[in-house]
Amino acid sequence: MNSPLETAVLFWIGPVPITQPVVTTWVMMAMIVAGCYALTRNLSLHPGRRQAALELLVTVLDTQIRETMSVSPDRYRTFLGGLFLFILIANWSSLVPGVEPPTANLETDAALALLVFVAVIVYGIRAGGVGGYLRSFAMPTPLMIPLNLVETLTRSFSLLIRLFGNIMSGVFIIGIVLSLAGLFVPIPFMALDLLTGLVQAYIFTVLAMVFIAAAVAESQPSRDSGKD
Amino acid sequence: MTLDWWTLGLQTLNAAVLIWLLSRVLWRPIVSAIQARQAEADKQLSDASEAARKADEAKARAEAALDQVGTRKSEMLAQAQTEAEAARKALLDHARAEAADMARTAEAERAARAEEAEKRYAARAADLAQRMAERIGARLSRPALLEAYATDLLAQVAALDTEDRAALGSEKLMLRISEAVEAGYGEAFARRVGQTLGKEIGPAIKTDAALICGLALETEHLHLESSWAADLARMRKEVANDTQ
Repeated sequence: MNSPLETAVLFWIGPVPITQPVVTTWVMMAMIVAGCYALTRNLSLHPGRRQAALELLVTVLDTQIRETMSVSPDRYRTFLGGLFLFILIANWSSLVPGVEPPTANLETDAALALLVFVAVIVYGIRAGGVGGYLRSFAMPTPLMIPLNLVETLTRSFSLLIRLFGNIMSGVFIIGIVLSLAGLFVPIPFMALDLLTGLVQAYIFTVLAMVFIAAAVAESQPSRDSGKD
Repeated sequence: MTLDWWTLGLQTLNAAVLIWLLSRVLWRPIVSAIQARQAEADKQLSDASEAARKADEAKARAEAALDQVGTRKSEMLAQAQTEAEAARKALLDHARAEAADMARTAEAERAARAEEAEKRYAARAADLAQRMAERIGARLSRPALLEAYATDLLAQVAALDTEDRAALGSEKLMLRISEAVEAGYGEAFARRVGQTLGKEIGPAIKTDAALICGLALETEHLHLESSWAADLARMRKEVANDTQ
Protein backbone atom coordinates (compact mmCIF):
# COMPACT_ATOMS: atom_id res chain seq x y z
CA MET A 1 0.00 0.00 0.00
CA ASN A 2 1.31 3.37 -1.00
CA SER A 3 1.35 6.35 1.31
CA PRO A 4 -1.61 8.63 0.80
CA LEU A 5 0.69 11.55 1.11
CA GLU A 6 2.60 10.53 -1.99
CA THR A 7 1.40 10.90 -5.59
CA ALA A 8 2.53 8.54 -8.27
CA VAL A 9 3.62 10.05 -11.57
CA LEU A 10 2.16 8.03 -14.38
CA PHE A 11 3.87 9.78 -17.27
CA TRP A 12 5.44 13.00 -18.30
CA ILE A 13 4.38 15.57 -20.87
CA GLY A 14 7.54 17.42 -21.43
CA PRO A 15 8.63 18.75 -18.07
CA VAL A 16 5.12 18.31 -16.64
CA PRO A 17 4.57 15.22 -14.54
CA ILE A 18 1.13 13.72 -14.98
CA THR A 19 0.15 12.13 -11.71
CA GLN A 20 -2.52 9.57 -10.99
CA PRO A 21 -5.02 12.09 -9.47
CA VAL A 22 -4.77 14.22 -12.59
CA VAL A 23 -5.53 11.30 -14.87
CA THR A 24 -8.37 10.19 -12.61
CA THR A 25 -9.74 13.71 -12.70
CA TRP A 26 -9.56 13.80 -16.47
CA VAL A 27 -11.44 10.53 -16.80
CA MET A 28 -13.97 11.69 -14.24
CA MET A 29 -14.40 15.02 -16.02
CA ALA A 30 -14.96 13.26 -19.32
CA MET A 31 -17.59 11.01 -17.80
CA ILE A 32 -19.30 13.86 -15.98
CA VAL A 33 -19.43 16.09 -19.04
CA ALA A 34 -20.59 13.26 -21.29
CA GLY A 35 -23.19 12.16 -18.78
CA CYS A 36 -24.49 15.67 -18.24
CA TYR A 37 -24.62 16.26 -21.98
CA ALA A 38 -26.58 13.06 -22.43
CA LEU A 39 -28.93 13.95 -19.59
CA THR A 40 -29.62 17.51 -20.74
CA ARG A 41 -29.71 16.89 -24.49
CA ASN A 42 -33.47 16.62 -24.92
CA LEU A 43 -35.09 18.80 -22.30
CA SER A 44 -38.68 19.83 -22.91
CA LEU A 45 -41.52 21.81 -21.40
CA HIS A 46 -43.09 18.57 -20.19
CA PRO A 47 -40.37 16.96 -18.05
CA GLY A 48 -39.99 13.25 -17.56
CA ARG A 49 -38.48 11.58 -14.52
CA ARG A 50 -34.92 12.28 -15.64
CA GLN A 51 -35.55 15.97 -16.32
CA ALA A 52 -37.59 16.26 -13.12
CA ALA A 53 -34.66 14.88 -11.13
CA LEU A 54 -32.28 17.32 -12.78
CA GLU A 55 -34.60 20.22 -12.12
CA LEU A 56 -34.99 19.05 -8.53
CA LEU A 57 -31.19 19.15 -8.20
CA VAL A 58 -31.09 22.72 -9.49
CA THR A 59 -34.04 23.73 -7.31
CA VAL A 60 -32.41 22.29 -4.18
CA LEU A 61 -29.12 23.98 -5.01
CA ASP A 62 -30.85 27.33 -5.66
CA THR A 63 -32.78 27.01 -2.41
CA GLN A 64 -29.59 26.29 -0.49
CA ILE A 65 -27.84 29.29 -2.04
CA ARG A 66 -30.81 31.55 -1.43
CA GLU A 67 -31.17 30.49 2.21
CA THR A 68 -27.45 30.60 2.95
CA MET A 69 -26.41 33.70 1.04
CA SER A 70 -29.74 35.61 0.93
CA VAL A 71 -29.07 36.50 -2.70
CA SER A 72 -30.33 35.43 -6.11
CA PRO A 73 -28.63 32.14 -7.03
CA ASP A 74 -28.10 32.92 -10.71
CA ARG A 75 -24.55 34.29 -10.34
CA TYR A 76 -23.32 31.62 -7.90
CA ARG A 77 -25.04 28.47 -9.13
CA THR A 78 -22.41 27.55 -11.69
CA PHE A 79 -19.43 27.79 -9.39
CA LEU A 80 -20.95 26.29 -6.26
CA GLY A 81 -22.89 23.60 -8.13
CA GLY A 82 -19.85 22.59 -10.14
CA LEU A 83 -17.73 22.53 -7.01
CA PHE A 84 -20.25 20.30 -5.22
CA LEU A 85 -20.61 17.87 -8.11
CA PHE A 86 -16.84 17.64 -8.61
CA ILE A 87 -16.14 16.92 -4.93
CA LEU A 88 -19.08 14.50 -4.56
CA ILE A 89 -18.20 12.46 -7.62
CA ALA A 90 -14.52 12.55 -6.76
CA ASN A 91 -15.28 11.35 -3.23
CA TRP A 92 -17.56 8.56 -4.47
CA SER A 93 -15.07 7.45 -7.10
CA SER A 94 -13.40 5.45 -4.32
CA LEU A 95 -16.19 2.88 -4.77
CA VAL A 96 -14.72 1.93 -8.11
CA PRO A 97 -12.14 -0.77 -7.47
CA GLY A 98 -8.59 0.34 -8.12
CA VAL A 99 -9.51 4.03 -8.26
CA GLU A 100 -8.16 6.37 -5.65
CA PRO A 101 -10.36 9.44 -5.30
CA PRO A 102 -8.68 12.66 -6.44
CA THR A 103 -9.89 14.43 -3.31
CA ALA A 104 -7.75 12.06 -1.26
CA ASN A 105 -4.82 13.85 -2.83
CA LEU A 106 -3.50 17.00 -1.18
CA GLU A 107 -2.92 18.88 -4.44
CA THR A 108 -6.54 18.35 -5.57
CA ASP A 109 -7.98 19.65 -2.31
CA ALA A 110 -5.53 22.52 -2.39
CA ALA A 111 -6.67 23.32 -5.91
CA LEU A 112 -10.30 23.39 -4.76
CA ALA A 113 -9.43 25.54 -1.76
CA LEU A 114 -7.48 27.83 -4.08
CA LEU A 115 -10.51 28.16 -6.35
CA VAL A 116 -12.68 29.12 -3.38
CA PHE A 117 -10.04 31.59 -2.22
CA VAL A 118 -9.98 33.21 -5.68
CA ALA A 119 -13.77 33.08 -5.98
CA VAL A 120 -14.18 34.92 -2.69
CA ILE A 121 -11.92 37.67 -3.95
CA VAL A 122 -13.59 37.86 -7.38
CA TYR A 123 -17.15 37.91 -6.02
CA GLY A 124 -16.14 40.41 -3.34
CA ILE A 125 -14.60 42.77 -5.89
CA ARG A 126 -17.55 42.31 -8.24
CA ALA A 127 -19.94 43.22 -5.44
CA GLY A 128 -18.19 46.27 -4.03
CA GLY A 129 -15.25 47.03 -6.28
CA VAL A 130 -11.63 46.75 -5.26
CA GLY A 131 -12.02 49.49 -2.70
CA GLY A 132 -15.09 47.97 -1.24
CA TYR A 133 -13.49 44.57 -1.01
CA LEU A 134 -10.36 45.95 0.62
CA ARG A 135 -12.44 48.00 3.03
CA SER A 136 -14.15 44.79 4.08
CA PHE A 137 -10.93 43.79 5.81
CA ALA A 138 -11.30 46.81 8.07
CA MET A 139 -14.66 45.59 9.33
CA PRO A 140 -15.78 46.14 11.98
CA THR A 141 -12.63 48.16 12.91
CA PRO A 142 -9.27 48.71 11.21
CA LEU A 143 -7.67 46.94 14.10
CA MET A 144 -9.11 43.75 12.67
CA ILE A 145 -7.21 44.01 9.38
CA PRO A 146 -4.42 41.60 10.39
CA LEU A 147 -6.84 39.12 11.83
CA ASN A 148 -9.10 39.32 8.77
CA LEU A 149 -6.15 38.76 6.45
CA VAL A 150 -5.05 35.75 8.47
CA GLU A 151 -8.63 34.52 8.60
CA THR A 152 -8.88 34.67 4.81
CA LEU A 153 -5.91 32.39 4.49
CA THR A 154 -6.68 30.09 7.37
CA ARG A 155 -10.26 29.43 6.41
CA SER A 156 -9.13 28.38 2.93
CA PHE A 157 -6.50 26.24 4.55
CA SER A 158 -9.12 24.74 6.82
CA LEU A 159 -11.16 23.80 3.76
CA LEU A 160 -8.16 22.04 2.33
CA ILE A 161 -7.25 20.20 5.50
CA ARG A 162 -10.85 19.20 6.35
CA LEU A 163 -11.57 17.70 2.96
CA PHE A 164 -8.19 16.07 2.58
CA GLY A 165 -8.19 14.65 6.10
CA ASN A 166 -11.65 13.11 5.89
CA ILE A 167 -11.30 11.60 2.44
CA MET A 168 -7.69 10.50 2.80
CA SER A 169 -8.43 8.94 6.17
CA GLY A 170 -11.38 7.04 4.74
CA VAL A 171 -9.32 5.67 1.92
CA PHE A 172 -6.49 4.87 4.29
CA ILE A 173 -8.75 3.05 6.72
CA ILE A 174 -10.37 1.02 3.97
CA GLY A 175 -6.94 0.14 2.63
CA ILE A 176 -5.75 -0.98 6.05
CA VAL A 177 -8.90 -3.02 6.76
CA LEU A 178 -8.80 -4.53 3.31
CA SER A 179 -5.19 -5.59 3.75
CA LEU A 180 -5.90 -7.06 7.18
CA ALA A 181 -9.39 -8.57 7.05
CA GLY A 182 -10.16 -9.66 3.55
CA LEU A 183 -12.59 -8.87 0.75
CA PHE A 184 -16.02 -8.16 2.37
CA VAL A 185 -15.03 -6.71 5.75
CA PRO A 186 -14.44 -3.14 4.43
CA ILE A 187 -17.97 -2.91 2.99
CA PRO A 188 -19.44 -1.17 6.07
CA PHE A 189 -16.52 1.24 6.02
CA MET A 190 -17.14 1.87 2.34
CA ALA A 191 -20.79 2.64 3.06
CA LEU A 192 -19.67 5.00 5.77
CA ASP A 193 -17.25 6.47 3.25
CA LEU A 194 -20.20 7.21 0.93
CA LEU A 195 -21.88 9.21 3.68
CA THR A 196 -18.62 10.91 4.54
CA GLY A 197 -18.07 11.84 0.91
CA LEU A 198 -21.54 13.34 0.63
CA VAL A 199 -21.24 15.23 3.89
CA GLN A 200 -17.80 16.55 3.04
CA ALA A 201 -18.92 17.73 -0.38
CA TYR A 202 -21.90 19.46 1.24
CA ILE A 203 -19.73 21.01 3.98
CA PHE A 204 -17.12 22.22 1.52
CA THR A 205 -19.78 23.81 -0.72
CA VAL A 206 -21.74 25.40 2.13
CA LEU A 207 -18.57 26.84 3.63
CA ALA A 208 -17.66 28.24 0.23
CA MET A 209 -21.14 29.81 0.10
CA VAL A 210 -20.64 31.34 3.54
CA PHE A 211 -17.23 32.74 2.67
CA ILE A 212 -18.46 34.22 -0.60
CA ALA A 213 -21.62 35.61 1.02
CA ALA A 214 -19.56 37.25 3.75
CA ALA A 215 -17.23 38.83 1.21
CA VAL A 216 -20.14 40.03 -0.93
CA ALA A 217 -22.09 41.42 2.01
CA GLU A 218 -19.11 43.20 3.55
CA SER A 219 -17.95 44.62 0.23
CA GLN A 220 -21.27 46.16 -0.71
CA PRO A 221 -21.71 49.87 0.11
CA SER A 222 -25.13 49.35 1.65
CA ARG A 223 -24.93 46.29 3.81
CA ASP A 224 -28.57 46.33 4.85
CA SER A 225 -29.75 45.57 1.34
CA GLY A 226 -28.97 41.89 1.72
CA LYS A 227 -29.21 41.39 -2.04
CA ASP A 228 -26.55 40.98 -4.69
CA MET B 1 5.47 15.44 2.34
CA THR B 2 5.93 17.80 -0.52
CA LEU B 3 3.40 19.68 -2.60
CA ASP B 4 3.52 18.96 -6.30
CA TRP B 5 2.93 22.35 -7.83
CA TRP B 6 2.36 20.92 -11.31
CA THR B 7 -0.36 18.69 -10.00
CA LEU B 8 -1.82 21.58 -8.03
CA GLY B 9 -1.91 23.71 -11.13
CA LEU B 10 -3.33 20.97 -13.31
CA GLN B 11 -6.02 20.12 -10.76
CA THR B 12 -6.91 23.79 -10.39
CA LEU B 13 -7.20 24.06 -14.14
CA ASN B 14 -9.17 20.79 -14.27
CA ALA B 15 -11.63 21.97 -11.63
CA ALA B 16 -12.06 25.34 -13.32
CA VAL B 17 -12.60 23.73 -16.69
CA LEU B 18 -15.05 21.25 -15.27
CA ILE B 19 -16.98 24.06 -13.58
CA TRP B 20 -17.08 25.94 -16.88
CA LEU B 21 -18.12 22.82 -18.84
CA LEU B 22 -20.85 22.01 -16.31
CA SER B 23 -22.18 25.51 -16.72
CA ARG B 24 -22.51 24.78 -20.43
CA VAL B 25 -23.85 21.25 -20.44
CA LEU B 26 -25.72 21.05 -17.13
CA TRP B 27 -26.77 24.21 -15.35
CA ARG B 28 -27.60 26.43 -18.29
CA PRO B 29 -29.80 23.88 -20.14
CA ILE B 30 -31.67 22.94 -16.98
CA VAL B 31 -32.18 26.54 -15.91
CA SER B 32 -33.28 27.42 -19.45
CA ALA B 33 -35.80 24.59 -19.37
CA ILE B 34 -37.11 25.73 -16.00
CA GLN B 35 -37.31 29.33 -17.13
CA ALA B 36 -38.99 28.31 -20.40
CA ARG B 37 -41.60 26.32 -18.54
CA GLN B 38 -42.04 29.16 -16.06
CA ALA B 39 -42.44 31.58 -18.96
CA GLU B 40 -44.91 29.23 -20.59
CA ALA B 41 -46.81 28.90 -17.33
CA ASP B 42 -46.79 32.67 -16.91
CA LYS B 43 -47.95 33.05 -20.50
CA GLN B 44 -50.73 30.53 -20.01
CA LEU B 45 -51.72 32.19 -16.76
CA SER B 46 -51.69 35.54 -18.53
CA ASP B 47 -53.70 34.06 -21.39
CA ALA B 48 -56.10 32.55 -18.90
CA SER B 49 -56.41 35.88 -17.13
CA GLU B 50 -56.94 37.59 -20.48
CA ALA B 51 -59.49 34.96 -21.45
CA ALA B 52 -61.22 35.38 -18.11
CA ARG B 53 -61.18 39.15 -18.57
CA LYS B 54 -62.62 38.80 -22.07
CA ALA B 55 -65.21 36.36 -20.75
CA ASP B 56 -66.13 38.86 -18.05
CA GLU B 57 -66.40 41.58 -20.65
CA ALA B 58 -68.52 39.36 -22.88
CA LYS B 59 -70.69 38.50 -19.90
CA ALA B 60 -71.03 42.18 -19.06
CA ARG B 61 -71.93 42.93 -22.68
CA ALA B 62 -74.47 40.10 -22.70
CA GLU B 63 -75.97 41.35 -19.46
CA ALA B 64 -76.10 44.88 -20.86
CA ALA B 65 -77.78 43.55 -24.00
CA LEU B 66 -80.26 41.63 -21.86
CA ASP B 67 -80.95 44.76 -19.85
CA GLN B 68 -81.40 46.70 -23.07
CA VAL B 69 -83.76 44.03 -24.40
CA GLY B 70 -85.65 44.12 -21.12
CA THR B 71 -85.86 47.89 -21.25
CA ARG B 72 -86.97 47.77 -24.89
CA LYS B 73 -89.53 45.10 -23.99
CA SER B 74 -90.87 47.24 -21.14
CA GLU B 75 -91.01 50.26 -23.44
CA MET B 76 -92.83 48.27 -26.14
CA LEU B 77 -95.25 46.87 -23.56
CA ALA B 78 -95.88 50.35 -22.18
CA GLN B 79 -96.33 51.71 -25.71
CA ALA B 80 -98.68 48.84 -26.60
CA GLN B 81 -100.66 49.44 -23.44
CA THR B 82 -100.85 53.15 -24.20
CA GLU B 83 -101.96 52.47 -27.76
CA ALA B 84 -104.48 49.87 -26.59
CA GLU B 85 -105.79 52.28 -23.98
CA ALA B 86 -106.08 55.03 -26.59
CA ALA B 87 -107.84 52.66 -29.01
CA ARG B 88 -110.16 51.48 -26.27
CA LYS B 89 -110.93 55.07 -25.31
CA ALA B 90 -111.53 56.00 -28.95
CA LEU B 91 -113.83 53.02 -29.39
CA LEU B 92 -115.66 53.89 -26.21
CA ASP B 93 -116.00 57.54 -27.26
CA HIS B 94 -117.20 56.48 -30.69
CA ALA B 95 -119.66 54.03 -29.16
CA ARG B 96 -120.83 56.65 -26.68
CA ALA B 97 -121.29 59.18 -29.50
CA GLU B 98 -123.18 56.65 -31.60
CA ALA B 99 -125.28 55.68 -28.60
CA ALA B 100 -125.96 59.35 -27.86
CA ASP B 101 -126.92 59.95 -31.51
CA MET B 102 -129.17 56.89 -31.48
CA ALA B 103 -130.68 58.02 -28.19
CA ARG B 104 -131.26 61.51 -29.55
CA THR B 105 -132.76 60.11 -32.74
CA ALA B 106 -134.94 57.70 -30.78
CA GLU B 107 -135.95 60.50 -28.45
CA ALA B 108 -136.81 62.74 -31.39
CA GLU B 109 -138.73 59.93 -33.06
CA ARG B 110 -140.45 59.14 -29.79
CA ALA B 111 -141.30 62.83 -29.25
CA ALA B 112 -142.53 63.14 -32.82
CA ARG B 113 -144.62 60.03 -32.44
CA ALA B 114 -145.92 61.25 -29.09
CA GLU B 115 -146.74 64.67 -30.52
CA GLU B 116 -148.41 63.10 -33.51
CA ALA B 117 -150.31 60.74 -31.26
CA GLU B 118 -151.28 63.60 -28.99
CA LYS B 119 -152.54 65.61 -31.96
CA ARG B 120 -154.37 62.59 -33.20
CA TYR B 121 -155.84 61.94 -29.79
CA ALA B 122 -156.73 65.66 -29.44
CA ALA B 123 -158.46 65.61 -32.81
CA ARG B 124 -160.34 62.48 -31.88
CA ALA B 125 -161.16 64.02 -28.52
CA ALA B 126 -162.37 67.20 -30.25
CA ASP B 127 -164.47 65.13 -32.61
CA LEU B 128 -165.85 63.22 -29.69
CA ALA B 129 -166.53 66.43 -27.76
CA GLN B 130 -168.15 67.99 -30.78
CA ARG B 131 -170.43 65.00 -31.22
CA MET B 132 -171.21 65.03 -27.55
CA ALA B 133 -171.89 68.81 -27.73
CA GLU B 134 -174.07 68.33 -30.75
CA ARG B 135 -176.08 65.70 -28.93
CA ILE B 136 -176.25 67.84 -25.85
CA GLY B 137 -177.27 70.85 -27.96
CA ALA B 138 -179.99 68.81 -29.59
CA ARG B 139 -181.53 68.10 -26.18
CA LEU B 140 -181.52 71.78 -25.04
CA SER B 141 -184.53 74.11 -25.35
CA ARG B 142 -184.22 75.14 -28.96
CA PRO B 143 -186.26 78.39 -28.98
CA ALA B 144 -184.57 79.81 -25.95
CA LEU B 145 -181.15 78.84 -27.21
CA LEU B 146 -181.89 80.25 -30.65
CA GLU B 147 -183.08 83.51 -29.06
CA ALA B 148 -179.84 83.69 -27.08
CA TYR B 149 -177.80 83.34 -30.24
CA ALA B 150 -180.02 85.89 -31.98
CA THR B 151 -179.40 88.36 -29.17
CA ASP B 152 -175.65 87.74 -29.40
CA LEU B 153 -175.68 88.23 -33.17
CA LEU B 154 -177.50 91.52 -32.73
CA ALA B 155 -174.85 92.57 -30.28
CA GLN B 156 -172.20 91.79 -32.86
CA VAL B 157 -174.04 93.90 -35.42
CA ALA B 158 -174.30 96.72 -32.96
CA ALA B 159 -170.58 96.50 -32.40
CA LEU B 160 -169.76 96.91 -36.09
CA ASP B 161 -167.95 100.02 -37.22
CA THR B 162 -169.46 102.47 -39.72
CA GLU B 163 -167.91 100.99 -42.83
CA ASP B 164 -169.12 97.45 -41.99
CA ARG B 165 -172.54 98.83 -41.15
CA ALA B 166 -172.65 100.47 -44.60
CA ALA B 167 -171.54 97.30 -46.29
CA LEU B 168 -174.16 95.35 -44.37
CA GLY B 169 -176.86 97.59 -45.72
CA SER B 170 -175.73 97.85 -49.34
CA GLU B 171 -174.28 94.48 -50.32
CA LYS B 172 -176.23 91.32 -50.93
CA LEU B 173 -177.06 89.87 -47.57
CA MET B 174 -177.70 86.25 -46.59
CA LEU B 175 -179.35 85.16 -43.33
CA ARG B 176 -178.83 81.52 -42.42
CA ILE B 177 -180.92 79.97 -39.67
CA SER B 178 -180.12 76.60 -38.14
CA GLU B 179 -183.53 75.10 -38.38
CA ALA B 180 -186.90 75.60 -39.78
CA VAL B 181 -188.55 77.96 -37.38
CA GLU B 182 -192.03 79.29 -37.51
CA ALA B 183 -192.89 81.41 -40.50
CA GLY B 184 -191.84 85.01 -40.33
CA TYR B 185 -189.03 84.46 -37.74
CA GLY B 186 -186.38 85.25 -40.33
CA GLU B 187 -188.14 88.47 -41.39
CA ALA B 188 -188.69 89.42 -37.80
CA PHE B 189 -184.99 88.98 -37.01
CA ALA B 190 -184.11 91.00 -40.16
CA ARG B 191 -186.25 93.83 -38.83
CA ARG B 192 -184.47 93.63 -35.50
CA VAL B 193 -181.11 93.89 -37.32
CA GLY B 194 -182.47 96.79 -39.32
CA GLN B 195 -183.48 98.50 -36.10
CA THR B 196 -180.01 97.97 -34.76
CA LEU B 197 -178.44 99.35 -37.92
CA GLY B 198 -180.96 102.08 -38.21
CA LYS B 199 -182.06 101.09 -41.71
CA GLU B 200 -184.09 98.34 -43.33
CA ILE B 201 -182.44 95.32 -44.85
CA GLY B 202 -183.84 92.47 -46.92
CA PRO B 203 -181.67 89.45 -46.57
CA ALA B 204 -182.13 86.14 -48.29
CA ILE B 205 -183.14 83.60 -45.67
CA LYS B 206 -181.75 80.05 -45.78
CA THR B 207 -181.98 77.10 -43.42
CA ASP B 208 -178.55 75.58 -42.57
CA ALA B 209 -178.49 72.57 -40.21
CA ALA B 210 -174.69 72.84 -40.03
CA LEU B 211 -175.17 75.71 -37.57
CA ILE B 212 -176.74 73.17 -35.15
CA CYS B 213 -178.45 76.04 -33.37
CA GLY B 214 -178.06 79.73 -34.18
CA LEU B 215 -177.91 82.31 -36.96
CA ALA B 216 -175.45 83.80 -39.39
CA LEU B 217 -175.37 87.05 -41.46
CA GLU B 218 -173.15 87.06 -44.50
CA THR B 219 -172.21 89.46 -47.20
CA GLU B 220 -169.50 89.25 -49.79
CA HIS B 221 -166.96 90.73 -47.36
CA LEU B 222 -168.53 90.24 -43.96
CA HIS B 223 -169.48 87.22 -41.98
CA LEU B 224 -171.27 87.44 -38.62
CA GLU B 225 -172.33 84.25 -36.90
CA SER B 226 -173.56 83.25 -33.51
CA SER B 227 -174.29 79.55 -33.32
CA TRP B 228 -173.56 76.36 -31.48
CA ALA B 229 -171.38 75.17 -34.39
CA ALA B 230 -169.33 78.38 -34.35
CA ASP B 231 -168.80 78.06 -30.60
CA LEU B 232 -167.68 74.47 -30.98
CA ALA B 233 -165.33 75.39 -33.82
CA ARG B 234 -163.83 78.19 -31.76
CA MET B 235 -163.41 75.97 -28.72
CA ARG B 236 -161.87 73.24 -30.80
CA LYS B 237 -159.40 75.71 -32.20
CA GLU B 238 -158.55 76.96 -28.70
CA VAL B 239 -158.05 73.38 -27.48
CA ALA B 240 -155.88 72.64 -30.49
CA ASN B 241 -153.78 75.74 -29.68
CA ASP B 242 -153.48 74.66 -26.04
CA THR B 243 -152.15 71.18 -26.99
CA GLN B 244 -149.41 72.59 -29.31
